Amino acid sequence: MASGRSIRFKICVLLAAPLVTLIALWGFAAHVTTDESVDLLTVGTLHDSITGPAAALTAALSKEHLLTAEYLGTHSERGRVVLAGQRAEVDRARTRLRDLSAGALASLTPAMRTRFDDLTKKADRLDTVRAAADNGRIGQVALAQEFGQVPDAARRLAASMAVNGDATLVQESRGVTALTAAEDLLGRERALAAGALVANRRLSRAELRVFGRLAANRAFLVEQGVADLEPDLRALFAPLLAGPVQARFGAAEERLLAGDPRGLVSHAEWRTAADRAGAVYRDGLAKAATALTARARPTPTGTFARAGLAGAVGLVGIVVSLVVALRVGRGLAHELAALRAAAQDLAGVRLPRVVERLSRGEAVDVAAETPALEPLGNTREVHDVAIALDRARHTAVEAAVGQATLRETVGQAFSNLARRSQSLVQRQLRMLDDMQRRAEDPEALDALFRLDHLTTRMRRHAEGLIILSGGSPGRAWRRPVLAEDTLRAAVAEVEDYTRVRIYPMPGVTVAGGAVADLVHLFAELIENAAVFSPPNTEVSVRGERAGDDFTVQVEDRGLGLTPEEVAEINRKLETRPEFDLSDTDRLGLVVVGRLAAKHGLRVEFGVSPFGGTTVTVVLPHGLIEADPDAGPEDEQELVGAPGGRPEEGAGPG
Amino acid sequence: MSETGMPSRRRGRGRVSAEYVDDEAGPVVRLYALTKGRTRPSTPAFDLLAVVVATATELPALPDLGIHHRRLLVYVNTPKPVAEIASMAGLPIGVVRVLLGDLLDHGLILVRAPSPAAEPESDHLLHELISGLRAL
Repeated sequence: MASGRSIRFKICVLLAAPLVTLIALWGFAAHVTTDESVDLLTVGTLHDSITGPAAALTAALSKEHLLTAEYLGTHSERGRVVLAGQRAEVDRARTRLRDLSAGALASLTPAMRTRFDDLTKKADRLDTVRAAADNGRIGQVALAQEFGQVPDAARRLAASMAVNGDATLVQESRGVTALTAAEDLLGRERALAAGALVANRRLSRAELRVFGRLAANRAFLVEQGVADLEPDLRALFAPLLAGPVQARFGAAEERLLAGDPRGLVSHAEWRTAADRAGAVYRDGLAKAATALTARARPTPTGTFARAGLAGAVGLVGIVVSLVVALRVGRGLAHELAALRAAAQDLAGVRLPRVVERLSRGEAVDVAAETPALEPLGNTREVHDVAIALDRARHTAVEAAVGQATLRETVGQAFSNLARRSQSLVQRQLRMLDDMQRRAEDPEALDALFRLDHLTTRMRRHAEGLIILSGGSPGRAWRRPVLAEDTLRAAVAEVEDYTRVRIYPMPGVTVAGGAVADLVHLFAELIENAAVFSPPNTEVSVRGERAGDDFTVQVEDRGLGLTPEEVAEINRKLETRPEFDLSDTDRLGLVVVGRLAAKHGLRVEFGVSPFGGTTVTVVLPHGLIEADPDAGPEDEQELVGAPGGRPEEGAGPG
Repeated sequence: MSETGMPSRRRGRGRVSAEYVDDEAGPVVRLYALTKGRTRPSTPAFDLLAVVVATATELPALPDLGIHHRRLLVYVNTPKPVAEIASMAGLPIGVVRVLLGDLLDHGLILVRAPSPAAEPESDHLLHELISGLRAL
């Protein structure tokens, strides 16, 4: 499976396979059970719709056999009329069977259908038999054989439809089937013997052989059939085993079989005995069929109910497992989603924020900023992962704090060293002041100026280190200082300061406390401009009011920066660049960014119209303390500042 | 050890809190920055006693003339000797000479050599001195 899939999808796949299998199995089981019940019901219907007409045909045919046999013996006109009537009845029964509704036939299995077709075919053969009988071209034996075919076929059809699973019922219906066959055999016996006796003749040897076989088969079938029945049904057929009916019929049969030593059995006597026996069969079988049908009915409905119950229980099981699977799956997916969200929040938002704030030197309440992940979910593994993430968070924050502390310590060490150097440089500059004041000789003054310039630059570097370490230069004036003086001081700190030209500007003053920082910032910008422009070109510094603010522009005639570089520098300045020890080329930029952020200045690099670079610094209104009228201020200075110490740098008060 | 010692942190001096305040911080602009490192004036006329007077009231807006040139121009509204100007501006005489040279180059001031009228006074003074010594 692709690794890009969500866990929700995977869980669904995981659950889908067993659920689909379960549903399929349930469907199959329900289908099979229902089918079986439907089969039973169908069989019941078939029994009513097909077996009934078949039995009627068999019964009518049995009578036609008898009448045909008698007609063959007498050839009487009356016999012919009666026979014709019976034939019409048989034809009706035959037509009814043939015209069975298509629905009933459609529900037959192929095997049943074959047997049904066999039955109708045998029934159709009847016409040939009748024609032969009418012409007298058929004997009793052949007649008995021909008329036996339809009942045999009917019985085979009935047997094919007996599929009930109940053992007792199967056994009983087997008994009934045997007795039905016995009845049929009795009919053939009756017709065979009646055909000879009506002509007042003995049975021929062939007839006798057939008669004997029929009698023996019938006796066997009766014995078997009755044995298969339950006691209550068995009682119905008791007259066939013992009693007057059986005694009389049995005696007549014996006499016929024995070759009739005491004279011929009369036709009437035979008919009476046989008809009575036949009546017993008919009554018994009718009652038995009713009883059996009544007994078999509940079975299909019971089976159906069982199938329905099983199906319903299965369905409930499937629904329950579906619901459980969905709930568990969704719960798991939710837990994992929550865990993922928490982890992403921690890794993408919280930790970076804390680390950033720590690296900026801000005090961070670590516990409040990255609260422990709430105990997630009730799955052990998910819970463990959450705990592990929490530990990782803890370690990461500790590492960040440690790094911040280290940085602070290093910064303090740098700051400490830089301040010591600054202290020495300040003393040296004071000595230089005195020496310059005493120097009469231009040569000596020139040397002192050079020394002063070197020392001033040393002080600038010391102060730069202090600023990088997060401190402030530590020099301040309580009175505002003219912006022009501030810029001139910045120029003085640049190596190639003679190339820098300050253009006349309005007499704006800046807050004394910010002067040291501003001098440092402009020194970096002017130095940058001087370094990146040809030695013989001018670096110009201009200042002008812009509304309430004061704008200073430092412009050089260098090669300039590409727009990409300009954008990059401006972006760095805007995001307050961090002191990165690995990027020493950019230290000046870092200093500028820090000082600008400290005093709310806007510093923007741009491309000069003359091809070089222009840096625009906007001093906000708050930093410009006054807009003194230059003249009177200078008068004040004139009066107030002729003290012992030189105050040439101090702005007007 | 005292060389590397940190200056004591001073607080409570106004609203400024820093190691070096005002005088201790030194002048905002170093002297060499005023003259761009020049130590020789464009003319040797600026004797200590030479008198300077402004010929213009306003400093023209020129890049080479800064706020310090303007201050000097204000001082010489009335004629003043160079030594007095230096004292008023609180600048070394060498620096003042260079700046005055700049003003002279732009025709903003006039320079007069030391007044001859002062000589008789000095003769008289010398005579008085000689006679006083003799009296000893």
